[in-house]
Amino acid sequence: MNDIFLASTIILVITIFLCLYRAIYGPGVENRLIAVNTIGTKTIIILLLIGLLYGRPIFVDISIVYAMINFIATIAIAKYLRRGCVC
Amino acid sequence: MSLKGNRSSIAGHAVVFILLMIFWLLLSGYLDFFHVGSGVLCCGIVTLISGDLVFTEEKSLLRSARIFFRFILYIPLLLMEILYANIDVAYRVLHPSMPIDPGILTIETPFEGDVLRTAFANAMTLTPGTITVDVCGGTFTVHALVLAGGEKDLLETRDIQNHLGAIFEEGA
Amino acid sequence: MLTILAIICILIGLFFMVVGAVGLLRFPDFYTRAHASGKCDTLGEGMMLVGFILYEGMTLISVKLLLLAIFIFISSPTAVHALVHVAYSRGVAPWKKGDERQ
Repeated sequence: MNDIFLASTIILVITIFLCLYRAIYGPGVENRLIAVNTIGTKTIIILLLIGLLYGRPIFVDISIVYAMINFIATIAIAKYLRRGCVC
Repeated sequence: MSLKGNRSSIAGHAVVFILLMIFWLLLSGYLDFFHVGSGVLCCGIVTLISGDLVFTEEKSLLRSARIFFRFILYIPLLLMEILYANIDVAYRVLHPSMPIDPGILTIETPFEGDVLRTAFANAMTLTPGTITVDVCGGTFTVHALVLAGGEKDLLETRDIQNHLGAIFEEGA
Repeated sequence: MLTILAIICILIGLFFMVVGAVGLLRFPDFYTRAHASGKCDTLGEGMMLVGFILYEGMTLISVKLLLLAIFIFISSPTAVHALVHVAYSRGVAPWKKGDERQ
């Protein structure tokens, strides 16, 4: 089972590098933002996999907090781009 | 911030407080005096400040609970449709010639409530080959992945619309 | 038995997450990329979380994972909708068949 977790983590890291291409070269700010959002969702799963691999349940709490921060950051940046201020 | 005095408002605040408390107990996992006490304090402050965000509409709690349970019964059907739509998108991504023909459509619905509109927009983003671009009143602007031959997607959208309208007891 | 089911769920989720990343690279414009990101990533995450729940069994961690799955299924389409709405109001033109890729 640990082998499957380790292989999943490595594959997810490779897909993060694929998304990083879009985040660096993507035309316009929207493409970069959606790439960063996708990287955030993959990071949540990687945190959970690390927690399972090393047997540390505290990583579940960390990934819950990371999911909330990812969502709020995306919404805040979208609002800033729309109105010019976060209010 | 306003605690209006009428009975339904106080009941709504109580339900929000109980839900927050369950969430706190699940996340903390300790049941001693310090953790439960600080949980009561935090949940009380949050309920006082923003307890009127959840139950804004003039609906009784019984009706909200009925809608909630009917929605839970609808979730497995929605998951099957989500799986089907994902296989479709995966086929279009992995096909060497990428058979897509995108465009923008508008869908008219008679929906009124905010929760219903949010549920319909989220379901439409997840299920057939469409994502919600704009919501203005009851009119939904969607971006479709396949325009030509997309009648099947539109039929699925009608299906979801009828189901959600029946669940939330509004005309579909 | 449950472990095999968990492995199947994790592999399906992994497949959809890889497809989401490939779609983010291959699709020609912003809106179609939002299709790939919004749909495939949400379902992939959900399937992997279901696999973790099956692997863990009935513990407090499983309840937390279930809460995380519900939160993701509500928040991820909302975030994608916010980004698409911003792009639409800023005037990003949608790609038509036959155009050059952006």
